[in-house]
Amino acid sequence: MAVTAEPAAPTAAPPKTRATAPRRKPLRHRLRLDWPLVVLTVPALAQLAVFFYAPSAYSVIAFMDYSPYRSLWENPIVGFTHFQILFEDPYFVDALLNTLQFAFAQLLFVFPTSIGLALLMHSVISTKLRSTFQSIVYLPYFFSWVLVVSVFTQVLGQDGLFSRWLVGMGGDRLDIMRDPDSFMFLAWLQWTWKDAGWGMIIFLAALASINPALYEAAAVDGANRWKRLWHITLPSIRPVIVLLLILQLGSILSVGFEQYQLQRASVGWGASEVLDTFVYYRTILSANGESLGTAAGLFKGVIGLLLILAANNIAHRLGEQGIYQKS
Amino acid sequence: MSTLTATRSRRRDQRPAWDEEPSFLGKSVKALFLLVYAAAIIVPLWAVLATSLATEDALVRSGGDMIFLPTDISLQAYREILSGGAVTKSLLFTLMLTAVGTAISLVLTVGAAYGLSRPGSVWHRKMLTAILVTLLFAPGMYPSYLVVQDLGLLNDMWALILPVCFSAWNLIVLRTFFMTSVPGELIDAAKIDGAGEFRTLFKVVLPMSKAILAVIGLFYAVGYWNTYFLAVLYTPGLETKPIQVLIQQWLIASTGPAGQDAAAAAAISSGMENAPAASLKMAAVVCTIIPIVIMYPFIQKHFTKAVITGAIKG
Amino acid sequence: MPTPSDGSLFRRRSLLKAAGIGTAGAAGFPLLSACAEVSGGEGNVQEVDQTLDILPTYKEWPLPIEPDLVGEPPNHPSGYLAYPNPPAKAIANPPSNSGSYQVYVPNWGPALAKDDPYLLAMQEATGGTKIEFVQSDGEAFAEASTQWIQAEEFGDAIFMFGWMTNSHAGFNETVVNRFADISDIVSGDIAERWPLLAGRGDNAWADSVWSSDPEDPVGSAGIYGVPWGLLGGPSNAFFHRADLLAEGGFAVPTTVEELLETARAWSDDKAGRWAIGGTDYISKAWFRLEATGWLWDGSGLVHNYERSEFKEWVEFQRTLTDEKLRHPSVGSADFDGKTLHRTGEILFDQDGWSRWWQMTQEVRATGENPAFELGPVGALTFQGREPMYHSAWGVGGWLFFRKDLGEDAIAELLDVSNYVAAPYGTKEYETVQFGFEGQQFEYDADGRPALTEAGVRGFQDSLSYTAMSGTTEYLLEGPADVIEARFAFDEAILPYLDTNPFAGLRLTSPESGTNAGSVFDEKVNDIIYGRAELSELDGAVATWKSEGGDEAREFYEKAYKQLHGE
Repeated sequence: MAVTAEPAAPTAAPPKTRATAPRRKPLRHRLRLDWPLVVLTVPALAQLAVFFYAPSAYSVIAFMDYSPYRSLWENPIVGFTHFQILFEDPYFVDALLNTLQFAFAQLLFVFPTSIGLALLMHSVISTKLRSTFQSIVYLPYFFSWVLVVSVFTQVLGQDGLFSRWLVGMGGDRLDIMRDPDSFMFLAWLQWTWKDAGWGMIIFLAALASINPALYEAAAVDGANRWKRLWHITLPSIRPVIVLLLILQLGSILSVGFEQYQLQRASVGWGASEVLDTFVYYRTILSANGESLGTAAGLFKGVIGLLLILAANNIAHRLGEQGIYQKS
Repeated sequence: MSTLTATRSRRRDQRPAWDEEPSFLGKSVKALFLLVYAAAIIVPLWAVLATSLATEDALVRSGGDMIFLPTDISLQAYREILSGGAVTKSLLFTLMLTAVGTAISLVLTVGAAYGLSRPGSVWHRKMLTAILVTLLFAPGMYPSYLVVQDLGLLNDMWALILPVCFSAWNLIVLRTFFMTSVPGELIDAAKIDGAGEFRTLFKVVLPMSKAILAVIGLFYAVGYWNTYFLAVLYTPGLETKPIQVLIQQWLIASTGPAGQDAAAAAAISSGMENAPAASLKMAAVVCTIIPIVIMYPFIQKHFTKAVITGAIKG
Repeated sequence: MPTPSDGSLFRRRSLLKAAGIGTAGAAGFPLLSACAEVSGGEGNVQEVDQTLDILPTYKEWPLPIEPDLVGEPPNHPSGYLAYPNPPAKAIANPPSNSGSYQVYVPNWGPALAKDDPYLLAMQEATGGTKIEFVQSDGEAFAEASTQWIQAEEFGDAIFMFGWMTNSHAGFNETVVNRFADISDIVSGDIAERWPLLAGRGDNAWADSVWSSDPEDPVGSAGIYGVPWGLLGGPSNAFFHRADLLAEGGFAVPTTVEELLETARAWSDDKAGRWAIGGTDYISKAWFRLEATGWLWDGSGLVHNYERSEFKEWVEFQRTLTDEKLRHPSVGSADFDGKTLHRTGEILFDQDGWSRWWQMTQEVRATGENPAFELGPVGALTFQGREPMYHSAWGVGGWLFFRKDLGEDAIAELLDVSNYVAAPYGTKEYETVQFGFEGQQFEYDADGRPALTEAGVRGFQDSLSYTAMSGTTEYLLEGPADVIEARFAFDEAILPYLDTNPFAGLRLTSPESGTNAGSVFDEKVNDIIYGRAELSELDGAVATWKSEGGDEAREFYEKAYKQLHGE
């Protein structure tokens, strides 16, 4: 899972006119002029053809009684049977509910943490302090989940720093790394530790682009700190908030795989199963689950698609830019 | 870009005249909160580092697997895991994976970003749509697995690179930069001088895009360095494992005593078994963090520019 | 539902009917009955029939040297007190081969270098066949191997432990579709070319049979694998630190109650001392719990989960947690029983028998603790009840060949298997297990081969040639005192040995039963480690029954009745 510089918007600024073959010219002529551009793009397209379009097409096995011992077209079509089975499968339903829980918890708790941190940082005057703090809180974003879980185990595990300290004080060991009931809290701690700093940077960038003259004018008009926050700061970063919200909504069923798979053994699957781990354990690690797992994956993909379209639509209605525009 | 830089440079270390001084209480609460937050990130990492440098004695005295203040410092753990055992091999393998993967990713991304930076060129719209569509939908895990299996890439290093070597997000960031921050006049001038597209790309566009290329490259690199999921999915049989998988098996996996022994034995190379197990493990964690920490200042330096180009301006 | 194409060797659904088990799984499947029919997850029954005429003709391969201690194999294996020096030569005329093959094996030790001197020397010793062993981490192998097999990514042959196949509901299907049927090669009299393979007794070969045609399980039966070892006696034990027990003035416990008493006296949570390490699989025997899970009560099958003994076992386990008698890392990833036991941080721990002499040898070699002494805890009784032990049933695993591997190639690899099948007391066995004198091992003062440093580093715990076949007979080997004690232990628990109620069948539980079982086990672990209350056990049992337990019971009961003619 590549880390990507994600919150970038595909909506391009109005392009400057540059030398390209005019549209009306015959294809042959345009190709003769533009072929290098096509050649440069083709490798990326080929990558997507193989690793995006081909697997997307393979999703048809969700509608088949698939067996790896037959060629694809010999598999009988069973329609939506696997989807029906999925929704009657308590393990899938659990995984789905867990996924939604984690996703909403991320939206409700981590998102505001990032905004809060950014606002707090923004109000720190000293540049030196600000950049030091930024460097610290934003570092764990680049750590893998393997590192995050390892570090957490060392600190909060049964035998970790904190437990030792508690026992030294005459208390009981901490069991949070193994307790399914508090896994949501643990997950929240981990998200905050790992990702809140990253969110903060994005918002800080947005905050930095607010024209100070606005504040000054408001202050002169007698607006106090809180009023300025409410009337200037928040509206100014609203496009970024909306953009990130849309991105989050679109991936609401993809809360990640690694964090849950890594801690599955210690907190049990009941608390940690999400859609991705469900698919992994049902199809990759056991036999006979090929079609079912594909159906679960397709369900996830389609819901994600619908959510992102809907969220974008709503954003447009609210007068925001969204991530793409009809043009 | 220009307004932004101006804004930033105008920010001083002094409170603007119109801003009222916050109360002492307000300031203290703020300071305390930031301090605790920073400590929550620093302290665990410090403990990891301290433990990796600890001697058996120091660990026994502290009565635990982790220590906070190293009394006597020993580099023995590093000497052992870097002496050619499984950790060494894994680190080298992952470095190689990162280098090769990042190179491929950059070639694909630069190519496509430049190829698509000229609206109106032939097939521009079709190709751009074909790429942007991939942002809206994710194919399932099993169908992807089937494709990798069909290509015969299971348990092959390429399965860790090819499926993720191109990110449409990074393409957008770079393309936007090419379109907005590389002056069209320069490109036109190059054209007039008789330079072809390739020459223009290498001689004019890329030299102007070093910072953003560095950031995108580093993001790809961090992704490859952190490879875990793909390795679990596609290459559980690789003899030399990516470092994240090794750390997982050694520190997290519940594989029982047999598995742990194997991992420990594999991590420690021949003969030397003098460093305490906890130090060895933490030394491996530190080795996994170090490349990130090395790349980090570069990311920081160029990052704000790059991301803001994409996120705010875009 | 359209019928699957005949191109598939294996027609999924009807196999059960043909095996006489009927549609036990399918009938009770609430999920499937509601929808169109899809295949999979019903469970599978394969008869282990020793009368099939495709099996190789058994021809005894007499042991060259009589064992010192003669037991009653397979549950009470014989053993040697002194190393037979020089060992006998099992194969007079080694074959002359030149093929080159790749074999996938799981591995828990360090991986062998491709040009390791052991491999090169073995190549020469086994007749020139060059085998590259592709060694993968055992846990990863267990999880992913059936996927590699489906993708036909396993070289020329692959070794699978039986326990690896259990969790894969469709493994029977995988076998007949992906592996070579070697019946034509090994049927009948093979003693001429492969005398040691012909000497594989018991039901080793019969246990390597799968049927491809559900309508005709006998006619379509084929031998698909080379059987691995058939271990004798219980393969695990509960060990105590004899030196520390004696030092503290404790006797070796003989009852669960005594064990608890000793543990209470020893443990001190605040001081970081806990008597007990791993007990989960070993302690079930003390409470008379069944290894297969199922007990025939005269009219039907009852599962461990439903029995009062199970509740007592859970209570015992919970006591260990509540009274802080067990090391706190037990049950988590951090638990490293070997190290804790070695350093004396725990008194008792469960493990395979090899822990005993391996750890003893290691500690003696480093000289870290001259007083160090391990010993097995005998069969513990609980509330005066006899314990119940289980021996290892069936072969431990198989070597499977790629489906399109030629007959000559398979025969060549079987030459190597034949070499590896040589039992204890032969030169061949010594070579496979210890390598070559002066390189991987030296004879110690007792004339017993002991690995040199190169041997330890190179292939201790490493699975390579040993994967090619089991030996004709499982025999105890090791230091004399250890062997005597082990032999005595096996003998002592013979009266408590339970017989497998499903002996003669290879069963794969319906998927719903397996799933419900793992949910239940999870809950039990929560209770045991204090994350849930004891009072939740009854509810969990009820859930297990309704979610798949009863379905599994139906499946097993049919199999049981069929087998025993009830």
